[in-house]
Parts: sequence; structure tokens; C-alpha cells
Amino acid sequence: MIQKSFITSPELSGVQAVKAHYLLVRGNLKGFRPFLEEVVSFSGLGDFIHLPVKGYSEGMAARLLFSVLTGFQHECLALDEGFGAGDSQFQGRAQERMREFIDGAGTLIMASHSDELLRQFCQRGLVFDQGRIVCDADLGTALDFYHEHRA
Amino acid sequence: MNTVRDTIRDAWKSRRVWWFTATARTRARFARTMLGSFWLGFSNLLSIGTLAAVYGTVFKVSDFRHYVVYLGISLVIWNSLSASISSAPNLLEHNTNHLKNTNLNPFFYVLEEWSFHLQTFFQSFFLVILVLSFVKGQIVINLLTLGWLPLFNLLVFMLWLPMVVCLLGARYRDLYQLVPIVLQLVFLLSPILYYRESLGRFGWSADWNPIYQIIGPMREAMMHGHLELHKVLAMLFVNLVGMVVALKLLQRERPYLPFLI
Repeated sequence: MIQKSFITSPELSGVQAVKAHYLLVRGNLKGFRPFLEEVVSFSGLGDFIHLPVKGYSEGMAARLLFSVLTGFQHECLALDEGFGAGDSQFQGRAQERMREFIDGAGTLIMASHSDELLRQFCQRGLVFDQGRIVCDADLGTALDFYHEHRA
Repeated sequence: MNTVRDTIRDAWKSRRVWWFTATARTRARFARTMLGSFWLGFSNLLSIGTLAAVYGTVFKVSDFRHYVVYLGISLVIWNSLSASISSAPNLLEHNTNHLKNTNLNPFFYVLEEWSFHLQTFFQSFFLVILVLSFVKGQIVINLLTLGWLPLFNLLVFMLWLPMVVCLLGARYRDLYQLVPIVLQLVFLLSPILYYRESLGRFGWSADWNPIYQIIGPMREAMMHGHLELHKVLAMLFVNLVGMVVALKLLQRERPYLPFLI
């Protein structure tokens, strides 16, 4: 699952965006109501979930997207550092969920410039330069390579 | 690399999603209106009534009731066809964010747009047919008995032609300017406001007009209970070829789309 945006039009509400994603993954709406409640609670959006996504701040949209994407157990999930958006309480919850995801044998591909974040969740590192992989090694080596060649 | 078969299989698997997102868009469009999606049919009826009164007088039609039904069926089909074609050139542009940030096949967004236009079409079509059936009751029976194949042709045509236009529109931006002009010309050249006989020695232009070949057989089936089978089957063949071409073009263009839009 590679997703950095909702699949729905920004004119549609958060509920509709979540429903579309749920249908995409599950193919039906069985169990959607508890899933939605969990997403609303995790993202902390409350009643704002009923408003069009176009009115959300970047942080709200990122929180909702993260909550939806990690609400399922995917075989592989690609994320960028955007999930760090939101208050410290949300960040704590998000990091906990990431660990649960990895413990559940999911493969996480994370794009980030933050050493700290990468060290928390990743073992292997890929460094890209102009769309090409220039280093593929364990995370420590890849980070060293990145910092050496950054200039 | 996905094959055409994979694309169709994925589209089928996600059918509930693109139908749902299209329905949600239709609902959002009429949110907080009193008449809701009734507006779709009502706006068509309004233009049919006005154009029939004006052009019925201009062309001095002898049978006004016949002309209203003729114009009504033609116009409701034309409106849906032209709306789906005119929105096509910038369809991918509208979905830039989705196309660059998700790994969904772009066919998903083509199907979503198609569903949106189908829902709009059916809501207008049924209301217009209901009203026109008071003028000529036979059209409902003819639609049910003979109209389904021309209707199928219309629905498939509304899928593949806008798909080709949107893929070409992503690469050749001139289409944004060209499509409205071509649509206007096709409208004026198609026997929609006037009878085909009025074209006189230019009657051949209707035979080579693909949009008229969608509208004409459907109108003929509904109004006169006559299925122009050779034309309908020829159009079915064109639709099948068009669909394959559109899907092949999508496969070819897919890797370049994020860089073009």
C-alpha cells in the first residue's frame, strides 16, 4: 500500500474518504462502523470527520490518513515522515502503532531525512540520488553514506 | 507491467469503490439543495421545453408533439455525452494529487468519472422519459424492448472516448482548447435540433458522425420501435475496438502520466 493522499475528491468528507479506503481494502462494508469509530478516536478528529477533506489542515489530513492506513494489516506499507504531524500525544500513539505494525510482520518502507525516526523503525537503508539507488546497506552504513555524500 | 486483463480485473475488484466515490460526488454536488439530484432532470426538461418552443417555431415543424419527443431524447443523450467528453481533457489533471501519491491504476479515476456521468445521465434520462411518455407513451415500451442495445452502446462509448481524450489531453494540452470547439461543431452538425432530412445533400455527414451514430439508433428505436440493427452492431464493433485501444493506450501512457500532469 503506497498512499500519500486519499483516493477521494477533496470535496468529500472524511467519513467518505475512510469508507472508500475501507471498500478498496475489504471489498465490502462489513465491520466498517467499528473501524470508523477506531479511526476517529485514534486520529482525534472528532466531529470534523464529517466535514469535507478540503477544509482540513495538513496535520489533520496526515493524522486521518495515517490512522486509516495503519488501521489494516498490510503486507507492505510505504510511508513518509509526514505521520509525525500532530500534537505530541498523537505522535506517541502513532509511534506505538508503527511498532505494532512491524511486530505483526508487516514490511515498512519509510522515506525520511530524520535519522532518529529511521533508527526507531528501520534496519535496512536505501539512499537515492536523482531517482537512482546509490547505497543499499544496513541502516547505519546507509546513514553514514548519506551524510558523507550529502554535500 | 500490468496487462489489459489485469487492469480489467483490478477495475472489477474495485467496482464498489469507484461507484461509491462517484455516488458521493453526486450527493455532495446537491448537498443543501431542496430538490437534490432532481435538478439534473429538471434542467434538461427546462432546456428541452425552451429549445422545442423556439426551434419548433423557427423550423415550422408540422407535428410539434413528435418534435418535442425527438428533441427531448436527442438532447438528454447529447448533454450526457458532451459532459463526459468535455470534462475528459483535464480529468487526470484534476486527479494529479491522487495519481502522484497513490499506486492506484489511473483507470480507477476514469471509471469514477464514468460512473459519475452515468448516474447523472440516468437520473436525467428517466425523468425526461417519464415526462415525454405523457406525449408519446410508446417510448417506454420501445426503450425496454428495443432500446437496450443502443443504450449499451451509449454507455460503452461514454467510457472509452473520454478515456482516449483524457490520455491524449495529458500529453497534448491543445486538446483542452480543441475539445469544446469540436463539441460545439458536432452539436450543430448532428441532427439533434433538426431532422436528418434537413441536411439535404449533406446527409452523409450524419452517417460519418460517430456521436450521431450513438444518438440516432437509440432515438429511432425509442420513437419508432425500429432497431437499425446493422448500425447498432457496427457501433458495437467500434465500441469494442475503441475500448481495447483505450486500454492499450492507458497501459502505454501510465508510466509517463505523473510527469505529464
